[in-house]
Amino acid sequence: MSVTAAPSSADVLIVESATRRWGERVALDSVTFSVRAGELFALIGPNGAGKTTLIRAVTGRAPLDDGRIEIRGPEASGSSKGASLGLVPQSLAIYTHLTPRENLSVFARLAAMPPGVIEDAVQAALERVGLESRAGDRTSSLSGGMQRRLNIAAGILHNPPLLLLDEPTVGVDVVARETIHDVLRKLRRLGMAILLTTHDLDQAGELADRVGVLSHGRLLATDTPTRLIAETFGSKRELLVTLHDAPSPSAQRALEGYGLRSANGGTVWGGQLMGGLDQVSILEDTLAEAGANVDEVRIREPSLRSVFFNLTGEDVAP
Amino acid sequence: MSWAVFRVMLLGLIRDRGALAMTFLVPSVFFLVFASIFAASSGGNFRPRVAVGYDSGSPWTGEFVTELRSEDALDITRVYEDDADSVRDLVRHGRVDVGLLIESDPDNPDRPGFVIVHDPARNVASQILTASIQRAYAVTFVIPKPAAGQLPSFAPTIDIQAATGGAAGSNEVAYSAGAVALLFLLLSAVHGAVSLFEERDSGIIERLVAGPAGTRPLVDGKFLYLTVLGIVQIFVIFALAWLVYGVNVPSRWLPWLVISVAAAASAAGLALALTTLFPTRHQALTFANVTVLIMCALGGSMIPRFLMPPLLRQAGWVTPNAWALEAYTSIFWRGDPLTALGLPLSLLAVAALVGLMLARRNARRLEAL
Repeated sequence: MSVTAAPSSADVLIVESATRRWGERVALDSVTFSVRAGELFALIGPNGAGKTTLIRAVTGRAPLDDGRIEIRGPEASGSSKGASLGLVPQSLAIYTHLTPRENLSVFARLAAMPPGVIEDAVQAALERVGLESRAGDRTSSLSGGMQRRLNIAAGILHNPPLLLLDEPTVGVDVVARETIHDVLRKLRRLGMAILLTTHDLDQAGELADRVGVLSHGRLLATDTPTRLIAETFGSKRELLVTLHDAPSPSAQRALEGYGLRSANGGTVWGGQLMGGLDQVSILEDTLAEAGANVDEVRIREPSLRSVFFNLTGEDVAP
Repeated sequence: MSWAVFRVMLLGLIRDRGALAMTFLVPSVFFLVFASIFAASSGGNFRPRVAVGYDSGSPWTGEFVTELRSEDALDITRVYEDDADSVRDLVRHGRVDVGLLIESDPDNPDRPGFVIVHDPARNVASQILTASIQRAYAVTFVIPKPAAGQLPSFAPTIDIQAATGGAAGSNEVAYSAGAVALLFLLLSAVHGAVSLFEERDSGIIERLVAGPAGTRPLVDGKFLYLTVLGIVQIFVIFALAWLVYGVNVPSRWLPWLVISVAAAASAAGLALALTTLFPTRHQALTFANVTVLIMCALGGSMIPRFLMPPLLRQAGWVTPNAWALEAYTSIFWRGDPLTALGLPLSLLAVAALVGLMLARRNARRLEAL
């Protein structure tokens, strides 16, 4: 489970010891990671973990107090930092009274693209997100998923080597979410480095080449989802115990004795399943003797959610 | 339950200094400014500034001018001996509200004849002067009060002439056209400028700030759009003034266009600068609307500035309304060439540029708010 790695020549984004404070609060605490060309890196963490601050730091809108951020790539040489990255904000940063083609044309001009390349760039972006057939319709008449894809298209118009996506599938249905995932996979195949922030751990596990776990401004781990799970759980499964109320001290001692943990002594406790199922029965008996009211005991294959819970003691809203 | 909502709203107000200022301070300032203007213009306190020119050869003129000076209703600022041109010039340039030329009456050599040199946009000044002349005339020439139902035995001969070199008689309509155009121009510009908040809230500004060109093209594009929209608005109003009231716009189309471009650009720049000063759309819209209304009141878009007290009349020069109205008056009333509009046009252009620069700077900050 690596947290830092030496920069390589394929790296498009290099973040080294990035530290940002808001007054007394440390929003980013010496964060280090890199994203390679053709790689999708998902930064996961709950609200307030520092994801937005990190995105703002990468785009240059939140200067670092310490550390450095470098963006490399063919488009970056001799051009501004802005030309090297595309940003897809969480909100729909598009004009709904325009058509998709008009929207992209406007954003191409606002991004100071040369007039001679705009038409081709707009067409290419429409094709990449699969909106060619609706290019002339009013954006307000498109579905939520299509509007999300247009939001992405506006960020890739100038074919940036680095694409930053902030929660790109918020509020869309499962089908639209899958279509957006396909678009992101296509962009990755084209060699784009993609930094995705999300609190949707299933999305990160399904889509990302590598994942960074961010909590309270600190990057706790970075690796592939498979390796993160394997390194945390090995061949073991995950045990989740949900209590009706906060546990008594004796119940808490029993849970901790089993190696389970919970955020702030809460009602959900999780960790590796130690031993066999008979050990779970013993734990249940111990909890009952301690007066704990157990709502559910669940044993499941570990996921990124399990890793996140194990690393931070926090759960992330699905 | 209702008290809970009351408390939420009260705390929202108390903890928002901007909202507090908008709720209590701005209306107070607004009231003070408007009360000063309207009280002065409708309460009978208006004393027109008068320039008098008289024929030095007449034995009675000195006595008559002395009597006229004692009139509280008039503010006689200049008196010229044998110089009618200076009087006409002062009226034409708006330095006095009305002029009076006292000459010998060819029909009655023992009595004076009067010529009121007037600006049609300041008719009320001519009316006040006419009444004062009649009173002073009666005193100077000891005319007995006529019996009920009878006409006075002598009445002064008063001729009213426009002091114009341009489209005489159309100044009041040209003035109104400019005044109304400026009022709606500024209001439209404010409402167009606040669309920046929609772009901020939707994340468009965030996207642009991260891009190579930043927010500058967005602000410049809005400035351009609001300027063109303003020119079209002014055109519509002056077209009506031409078609309905005969204001001779076609003969002065070039200076009219130059003034209108400068006025529309200054409105666009000021509206963008004002709205980007604030973190929320509501605050920006409230403050900008109030500021625009005060500017319009001080600048003569609601009440002609010559009716205002001297202090407010001077204060009006800080508004683009006053500069634009001065420029329109200059071409439609005085018939001045474009080259004579250097000062008002320069001021409008500076306002446009300063506003645009401030808006460019503020727009980048807007994203972070």
